[in-house]
Order: sequence, then C-alpha cells, then structure tokens
Amino acid sequence: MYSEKISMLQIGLLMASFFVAGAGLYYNGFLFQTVDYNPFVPLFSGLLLSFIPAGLAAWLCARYPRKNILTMANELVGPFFGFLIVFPLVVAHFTLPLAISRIASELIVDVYLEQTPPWAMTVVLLSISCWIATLGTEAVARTNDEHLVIIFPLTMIMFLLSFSDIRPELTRPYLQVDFSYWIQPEFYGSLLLFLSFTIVLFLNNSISHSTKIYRMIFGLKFIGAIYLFITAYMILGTLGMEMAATFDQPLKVKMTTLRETVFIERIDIFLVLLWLFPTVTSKAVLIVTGARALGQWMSLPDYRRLVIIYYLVIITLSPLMLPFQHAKRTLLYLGPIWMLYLTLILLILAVASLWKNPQKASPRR
Amino acid sequence: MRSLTFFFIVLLFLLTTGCWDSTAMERRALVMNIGFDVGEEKPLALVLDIHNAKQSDANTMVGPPGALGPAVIAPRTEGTTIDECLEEQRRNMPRRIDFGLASAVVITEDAAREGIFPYLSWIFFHPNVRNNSYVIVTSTDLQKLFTEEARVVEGTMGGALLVSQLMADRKTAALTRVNLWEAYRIQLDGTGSLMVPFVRSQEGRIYYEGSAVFDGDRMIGLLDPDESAFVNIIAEERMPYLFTFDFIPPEVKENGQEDEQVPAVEERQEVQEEQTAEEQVQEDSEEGSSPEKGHLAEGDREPKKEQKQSNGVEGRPEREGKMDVPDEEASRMTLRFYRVQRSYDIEKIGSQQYEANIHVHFTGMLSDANPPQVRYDRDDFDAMNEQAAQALEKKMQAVIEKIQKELKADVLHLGRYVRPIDIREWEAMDWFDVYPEVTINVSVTVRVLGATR
Repeated sequence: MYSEKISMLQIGLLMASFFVAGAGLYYNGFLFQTVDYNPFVPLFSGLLLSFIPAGLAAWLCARYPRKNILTMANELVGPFFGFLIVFPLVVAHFTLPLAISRIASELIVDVYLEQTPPWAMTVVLLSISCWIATLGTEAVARTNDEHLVIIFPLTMIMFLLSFSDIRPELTRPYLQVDFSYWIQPEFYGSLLLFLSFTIVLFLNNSISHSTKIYRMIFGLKFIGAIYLFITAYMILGTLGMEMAATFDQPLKVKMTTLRETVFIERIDIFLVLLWLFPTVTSKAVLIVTGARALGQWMSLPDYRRLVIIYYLVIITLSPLMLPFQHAKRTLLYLGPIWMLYLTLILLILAVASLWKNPQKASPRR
Repeated sequence: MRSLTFFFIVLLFLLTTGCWDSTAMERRALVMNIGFDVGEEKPLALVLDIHNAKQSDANTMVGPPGALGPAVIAPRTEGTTIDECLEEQRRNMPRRIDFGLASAVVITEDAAREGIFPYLSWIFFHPNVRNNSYVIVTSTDLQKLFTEEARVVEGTMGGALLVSQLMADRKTAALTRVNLWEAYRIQLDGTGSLMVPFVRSQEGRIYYEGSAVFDGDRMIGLLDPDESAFVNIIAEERMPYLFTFDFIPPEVKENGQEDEQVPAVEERQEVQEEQTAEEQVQEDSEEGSSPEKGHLAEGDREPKKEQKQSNGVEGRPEREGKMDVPDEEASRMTLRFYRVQRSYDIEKIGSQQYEANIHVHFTGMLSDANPPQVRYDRDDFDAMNEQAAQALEKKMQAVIEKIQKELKADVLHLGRYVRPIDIREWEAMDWFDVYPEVTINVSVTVRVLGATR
C-alpha cells in the first residue's frame, strides 16, 4: 500500500539493532537471573525456541512476497479475523517502546545524569523515536544504518577495553547445566529479544528480493546470538555469576568497571551510547510498523500522522511505566505472550495458506 | 512539519540538561576519597577528603593570599549508619557533596578488622561513585592522611595523590591494586580472598607497605611488599619485577669453590659488618680504574670471583628483590623480569579434596644493576635460569605456606578454578574450610634472554 522501499541489508541491520539494544538494556539481566550457573544454555535454548516462529515467518514471507502480514491475514482468514489476529501484534509494537524508553532512561540516569528524573529521559527518548518515525520507514532504516556505523567502532572499543578484566574461569562451567531456567519467568521474558523478525512480517511489502528473506532472518539470528554470547561472556568473566545476577542491567555495570583508561578517564559514558542509538531506532521501527498497520487498515494515504497521535497518547500514558519495576515486568510478560501468540497466529496463517492453496503461490513478478 | 521539528528541538534543549539541579562548582564539595573508620562514640565514622578546587593548579584566577582556604578539608562525622554520617556531613557543610570524582575508598585498619562489606556495598550502590575507584586500607588516622601537606610532585592534586602511585604504575608487581567492583565481586562469589593495598602516610608522603589480607570481609593480616609482589605475580601475572639472587657461575661450582664463594648466612653478615665503607670505596675505585677488566676474554671468570670475594654481602633481607648498586654488590645477580606466564592445574583428588599445581614461567634479562664489564656465555645463562628458578621457587613456597597455613586466605584465587570443576560440590561446600588442606605445588622456570647492554 505504501510505496516505501528498503533493502534486505537494511532490514537485517534493523534486526541487528534489536539485538544490540536488548543486550544492553534488559536481556542479560533476565538471562543471569534464570540460572545459578552456565547461562549460555538458556541463551541457546531461547535461540532454538525462537526458530519455530522465525521459520514460520520466513516461510510465509517467502510464500507471499510483497505482502505484509496484514495482507496475508486478510487474504487467508478474511478481513475481520485478519484484523482480529494481527491487532494484538500492533498493540505489542506500540507498548514495547514505552517500556524500552523507561529502561533506557534508567541507564542514562545511572551513568550520565544522576540528577535528572527518569520521566524526563523517557519523554526525550520517546520524542526522538517518534520524530524519526514521523519521517517514515525509509528514514528509520537510513537512520539505523548511520547509527550502526557509529556503534560498530564503539563495540570494538568496548571489546578491546574489556579484554584485560576478563577472567575466563569465572565464565565456567560450560558442560554442567542448571536446567532450572525452564521454570523461571525471566527465561521466557528473555525470549522477547529473539522476536526482532516480526518487523519483517510487517515490512515484507517494502523489501526488495523478499523471497530470500529467510537468509536474512536466520543469518541475523546467528549473528545476534554470537553478539549475545560475547556480551554474556564479558559480563560473566568480569563480574562473576553471583554478582552479575544481582543487577537488572549487568552490561551497564560491566561498562562502569572498565579500569582507568589512558585517553578518556570515563570511557564508560561514551560506550553506553552503544545501546542508545540502536534503542532509539528499534523503538522507531516498532512505532512506524504499528502506525503503518493502522494506516493500512484505515486506508489512510499517509500513516505518519498516526505517529503524532501515538506520541501524544504515549506521553500521556508514560507515568504508568515510571517505576522501573513496571517497565521490567511489562517486558517479562510481553516476551512469552508475544512469542506464544506470534507462533500461534503464524501457525494459523500457515495452515490456512496450505489449506487454501497447497501449491506454492506464484510470485507477483 | 517545521514547527513540529522546532517544538522537538526546544523540548530536547529543555530536557537534556546535564545540570538538572544547577549546582555550580563553587556550591559543590568535591570528594576525592571516602574514608571509613570506627567511631569513638558511635559505631561508624565517615571522613570525606574534600578538595578545595580554588587551591588547584588549574585555578588561574587566584585571589589574594589567605582567601583561598585550606587545600583539603577532611570533616569527620560519626553515626550508626553510613547515611546518618553523611546526613551530618550535609548539615555541617554549606555545599552539595559530590562523590563523582572519588578515586579511592580508604578504610582504617581498625574498621577493616571489623568488616568492610557494608562500606563496599553502600558505595557500590551509591549512584555517584565510580565503580572503578580503588579500595585502600591504612594504618594512619584518616584526617591526618587526607590533610597532611601532601604536595610532592602532584602539586595540590588533593586526594588524587593517594592513588597516584596506583595510577602511574599500573602493571608493576610491587603494588597491590583492587578496584571497588573487584572487591565487591570477591565478597559476593567467595572464590578467593581479598587483598588490598596497605598504606601509611608520613610527613606528607604515602608509603605502600604491602597488602592487607581479608578473610571474608574482615582483615586478618598483612603481607609485606615482597610477599605481596609474589602473590601479585602468581595471581595476576603482574610484571615487571626485579629479582636478586646469589649467582654461582658454573665453573665455580665445578671447581668445588662453592663453599668458599658463598659462606653461610651468618658468616656473610659478619663479613658485611666487618667490612668498612673505606675498604669498599677503595676496592670499587680499583675495579673502576682498571680498563683491562672491561675487555676480558670470554670464559675468564676472574673478575666475578674477585667481586664475590671482595664484597660478600649476600643475605641482606632488606635488599631482596631490589636493584643492587653494581659496584657495591656485584656478586648478586639482578634479573629484570618483564613477562610472566602462570598456569594453574587444579585437580579433584577426592570428595572436597583438591590438588593445585602452579607453574610460573618468568622471562627476563639481566638488569643494568649487574657489572657491565663481565660477559656471560650460554652456560652462564643456563646456570642463571636454573639458580634463579630455584631461588624464586623457594620464596614462592614460603609465601604460599604463609597465606595458606597461617592466614588461610585464598589470595591466589584458586577457588575461581575449583568452582567449575564440580559446581554442585562447590555450592555445597565452604571453600575456606577446604582450602587450607589443598596440596599446592609450585614450580618455576626462568628464561634469561641476555643482558641489557
């Protein structure tokens, strides 16, 4: 419906932003709270679990090139049920930025601006994301490209500076496993990070060469998992399991432990930017996809005005998330519910697709 | 759209101010070090080392003399909790207390012997204090330590003087360094014992006098600088390190002159006492004045023999591991190690029984403290490797004996390596009950690459 075009690489980079932002903001906190030792097992369990909806999404996107999940649902289960099953996803896209903004503001207030109240930072972060979102999907994707150019060297600096503090023996054991994570809500909360591929479902009509999208989805999952593994390894190697598990944002704490550096005394305040750029763009992409979906349903020629309405609503609602625990709990519940729901509707759509047209749908061109 | 953009920009300017409370510099009390002590009337005492920014070298707007105030003030308040102490500081001080520059947490020995975890955790969760500030234990009164005219090379750097040595030489084995986060981690995971630099202030100078060793969060003993250095080398692979030992050239050994060359410790000390300074000077001048001796053929051992016989000053414990003046103690070999590789090989040999094999490999060169006029060949270097390794091994064994049997403190952090062997057992056992019974074998190899000149 909307004639915006983004490339495969851009959609990949958008997914990468979710991993980078999530690792810094909440993922590692959840991960370390799930087990007594060896958090790498829940990490890879989460990755494997997420392959079910990701595989279904990749299959559907390849089967219906140039169609997003709204159009697919519309065609497969009818307009009413199509709206009914996709609408909760849009709600999730609109809810997540608020919780993420609050969690990111905690990071900023802790590291940079101790005297600034968190609500102010929440408003600022939401304002920036919404501003980028009003510029449209292409602008969000381009902004994200530029942000990743900035964060790549920062990531390298972070890894290099962390190296001397890491005690590999603190990350062990690798082969002894604590399976108690299956009954921990934090484990299911951590699954949220693996859901970045949902943006592909919403943007499939704007992606060129979308029949090969599975490469990007699985490739990014693999790269994202490596990134998560490295950050978890760095945190564990520095803080140890017992200490890391006491923090909601252990990667932030890890950054503040960097020993006095030669050229910048407080390199940590520079390095924390690492998560702020991708956080802003991943929020923007969630907002823009949500607004696009609403615009598509309402047949609006320009969905971007919806972003402004969303902004006003979300700013009004922002005090709801003011306590950090509320934001954290939102993520904790949103992760498993979203994952389960997504898997369910993708299964429904896949079954309906096979039911209606057992042959592979012919591509439009 | 343009007005919307303008609105956003104005909003950002309004909200993203780093100075939310608008507290100007002159309204702030810049805390350079946070001191904790045992109170005289109440359980705790908090001493803040507050730097007077007007006295800073960076202040180019110096007012009239006497208007600047003292360079450092160190108010002391007492209370039942740390926050109570801080509240009293706030009541007494017409400034906003700013911990943002605090570079060290200094705890008095008395307070350290009662337990430091409450201090560490309070500071760690204080939003303003840097997690990479240092932890230090001192035997000096905190107010004296902070306010003494400590202006050596740093001018009026205030509290930064305390840690300037730690900041300046970050790799040397001689100084123990522990950051706040590291101390906190060691307390939490219990995989080792904390070792903290122990300082003393005298006439405005800070002396690093080894390390305070902790059992849990209570200080239980002291390691002297040499012992600390060995622990730092083994635990942290810290370098560089200067090591002096008695070197007996292989030819001397073969000729059976060893006993003559190196008398027993008591004899040597007697020789040293008897030897007058004048004789020493005379010998030195003779050696220095003979140009031939600087150009001896390889394999000629005479100069070394002469030096050995002439001074015979081994066994001065205060000079162990320190650079020797070449003419004074030529027979002593000083090696400058610049690389160390340590490996822990820890095996479980039974239920809650472990054996630790520690291997330490040193790589170094002859320091320029050795007589330059002597040339060494391969056999000499091989002998040096062997003898230095033996000497180091002996010293390390003594240190390990002390920390394991006497102090019962795992400052080598063996627990970190034991933990993953069987983590279920680790969770069930108390490592510090098991640790004193662990068999620790230490082996040392040395590779001397050559001379520095």
